[in-house]
Amino acid sequence: MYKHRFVTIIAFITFAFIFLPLILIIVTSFNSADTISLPLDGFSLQWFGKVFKSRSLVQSFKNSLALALVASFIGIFLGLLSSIALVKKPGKVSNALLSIFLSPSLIPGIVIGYVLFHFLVVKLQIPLLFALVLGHLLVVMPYCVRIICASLKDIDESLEEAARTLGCPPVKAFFLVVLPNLRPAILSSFMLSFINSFNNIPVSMYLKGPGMNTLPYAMMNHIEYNYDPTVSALSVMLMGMTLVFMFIMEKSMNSQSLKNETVRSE
Amino acid sequence: MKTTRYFFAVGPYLLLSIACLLLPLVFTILPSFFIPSFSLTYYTDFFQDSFSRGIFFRSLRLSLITTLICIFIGLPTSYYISLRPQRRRQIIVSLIMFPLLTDAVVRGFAWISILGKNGMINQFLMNLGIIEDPLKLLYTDFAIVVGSVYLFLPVMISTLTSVMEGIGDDVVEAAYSLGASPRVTFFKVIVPLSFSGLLVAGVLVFSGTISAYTTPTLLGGNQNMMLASLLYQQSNTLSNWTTSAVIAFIMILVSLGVMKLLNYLASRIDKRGVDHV
Amino acid sequence: MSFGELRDIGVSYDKKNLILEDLNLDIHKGELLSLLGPSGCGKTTTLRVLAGLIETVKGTFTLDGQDMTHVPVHKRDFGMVFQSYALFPHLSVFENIAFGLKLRKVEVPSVTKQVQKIVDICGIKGLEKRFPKQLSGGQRQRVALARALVIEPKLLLLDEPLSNLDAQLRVQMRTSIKRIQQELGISTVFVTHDQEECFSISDRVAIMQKGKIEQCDNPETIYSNPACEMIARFVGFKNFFSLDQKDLLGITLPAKIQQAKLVCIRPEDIGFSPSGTLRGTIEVRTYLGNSYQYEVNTPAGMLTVSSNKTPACEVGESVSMAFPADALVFLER
Repeated sequence: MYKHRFVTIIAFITFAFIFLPLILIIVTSFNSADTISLPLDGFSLQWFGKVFKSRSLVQSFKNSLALALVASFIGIFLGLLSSIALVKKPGKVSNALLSIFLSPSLIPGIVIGYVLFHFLVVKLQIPLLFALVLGHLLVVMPYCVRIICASLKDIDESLEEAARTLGCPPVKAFFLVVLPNLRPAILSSFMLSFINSFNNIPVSMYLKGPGMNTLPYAMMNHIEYNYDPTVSALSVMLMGMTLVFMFIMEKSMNSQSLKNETVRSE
Repeated sequence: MKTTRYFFAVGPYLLLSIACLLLPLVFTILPSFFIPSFSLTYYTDFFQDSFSRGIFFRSLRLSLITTLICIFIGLPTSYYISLRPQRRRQIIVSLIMFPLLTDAVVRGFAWISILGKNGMINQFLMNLGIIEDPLKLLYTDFAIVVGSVYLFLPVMISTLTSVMEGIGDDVVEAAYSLGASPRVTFFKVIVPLSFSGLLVAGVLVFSGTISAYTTPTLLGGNQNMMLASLLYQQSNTLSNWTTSAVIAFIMILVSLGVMKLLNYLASRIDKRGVDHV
Repeated sequence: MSFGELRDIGVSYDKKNLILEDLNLDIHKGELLSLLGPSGCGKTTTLRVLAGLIETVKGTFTLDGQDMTHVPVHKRDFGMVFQSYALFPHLSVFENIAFGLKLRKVEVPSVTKQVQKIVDICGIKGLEKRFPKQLSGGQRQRVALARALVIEPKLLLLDEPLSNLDAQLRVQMRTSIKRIQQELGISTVFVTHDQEECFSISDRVAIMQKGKIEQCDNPETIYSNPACEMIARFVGFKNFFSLDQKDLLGITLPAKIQQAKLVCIRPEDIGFSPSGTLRGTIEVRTYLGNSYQYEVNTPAGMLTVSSNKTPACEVGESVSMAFPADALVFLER
């Protein structure tokens, strides 16, 4: 095999470009200086403490967590229902419905946030919290449908038939044979739903109400007024969370389907 | 499966799509075409106003630049990754995916600390005595591009890597055996065979950049608005519904239009004649 | 009355085109019946009708005097082995085999005993704790067979069970299947597109084409007396002539044949002899190990002849050929 010196150099510059900023955040979060700067002054955990002392950050973290959990759980349940229908009854109607269910990932997030706000909140006067949950459900819908649908299609149809010839009624066959084999898909669409909902800004920003702020937006506000490593510390904790998620996903499934997913929390 | 059961199963999401996507889109955007009879006045106004026109073209320009940079960096990097042994390749790809799963605010914040007035770059250059006053790097178009490339490079790399993995050693070895140098092989074999993947990833990067809100807002500031920030300002701060609707429609049009166009090109140009992305 | 009977079965996927049309099939008790035919002939569809996986638009299916036509799959008590084996990937070999027993609420000690027994019979002892992923193709096949057999099915259905195995394993497995089937005396329907495989293990063979059964008989009868040209080609006849050519070949129509359209003969039944009735020139010679096969250009068309005559004929040589009367088969269609 030939050596590609040019390719190798570019690749390493790219890796540096991708990872140095994150490493920088990690390093400065443990620095005792009260601005984000190098060289390091000394080791300190004070910024992590500051995160927990900030009521707005803690509260919005709880909000985001609850919102992401609710949206993901409902999203997965509905995604499972629709996917079964779409896969069991292929045809024009199912194809059309599938593209409708995937469409929120094609429309700019800020547009979704705005039209939801304008229609649900301004026009229909739906309570903000309810609109927020609906909005996040819309955000997670494509991930739940796409991954579960794909995995359901991959599962050998004769598995269910085999269960039935062995004496299993249809619904029981689904629970005994199909559902266990869908577990990796359900887990990974849960992770992606959770991450997308948790990190979402454009939809939350429009639909947040008094006392109902989400973490990413609270962080954005925090950055505007305070330039200290508190956000670094918080970022490190969030990265830790992401890392745990990625680890679980890698363990539980082929990372292929994860790779093909694009995360658009922007 | 019976029809009633079918609609019961897809019902909730269908209802959600109609009530929270279709109807809101129609009700919000339709009025921008009527004053009160059908007219494109709001749209011509948008493009006649130099401020909004400037933002539109800045958004297009920066998205295009971002896409091109992602392609130029992404191609060699993906090729490098695709040449690694399988286990190492998987690890690298997972690592590359990591920033993608990280909060956009976290990523934007990292670049604020690097590009800011008291950021790493300015500190470094001033300590060395190369400059006396800090350079203005943050709140510029440059910062937006850097942030956007940072945001979407993983998308480009992961797409291209999986396409290049599929090219197969035999093709590369055939090129070598015919006397092609590594450089010629890269440009004459690898790049053409990755072209459809390049288009697909290009669409994702372009439409992602042009619809992004967080990164341009954090790194571009108020002076360097993009369409998304303009939409937020018009709708939330100024409650200007028609202008907001105009921007929303333009954003949908641009991102869907680019997507359709390039997907069409990808299917036409793909030299392998199969859909593999 | 036969053990199992399909009567006038019609199947349609789209309510317009019939996949099966007025299909009739008898299954005898304890036999191994094969459905043989090219892909798309409806043999798998017939099997799925038997299993209850496909709704019929008309016709009845009775087994042991019982009308099964509208009995749902899970109440039929048939064992089925799928082409892909359809082993449950999330269950171990033991759990796969025990699946049907557990659904029948069999007591745990009894489940273990029955699984042990069938594991012994199928020759997969020691693999009980493995998962399907960790098995070879032949082992998966045996597990699938064991899973279908352990519920003591009234009927065993095999859907091209050997098609995913390599050639050597196939021969080995088909012998195992035959042995187990005989040992348990279980009525079996076996779907395949491989003629040799089918003839070697079947008690009777039903040859299908375009949704119809063309001939259903024991292998020996089909081999010596094919019912139509398609089957004749299937079982190794290579030389076909229309009856107008009978003078050219120098053959006479036997008295008992009332009407026939075609006459055919196997390559090995044509003899080279100086007193032959047809002359021709050898154009191609291929070596088959124990004999040579010749392509011979004659006034009656190109013939395929195989012969172990030594020394072998040379290309370009002129030969005369004889057609023994008892080797000729007359076909009505």
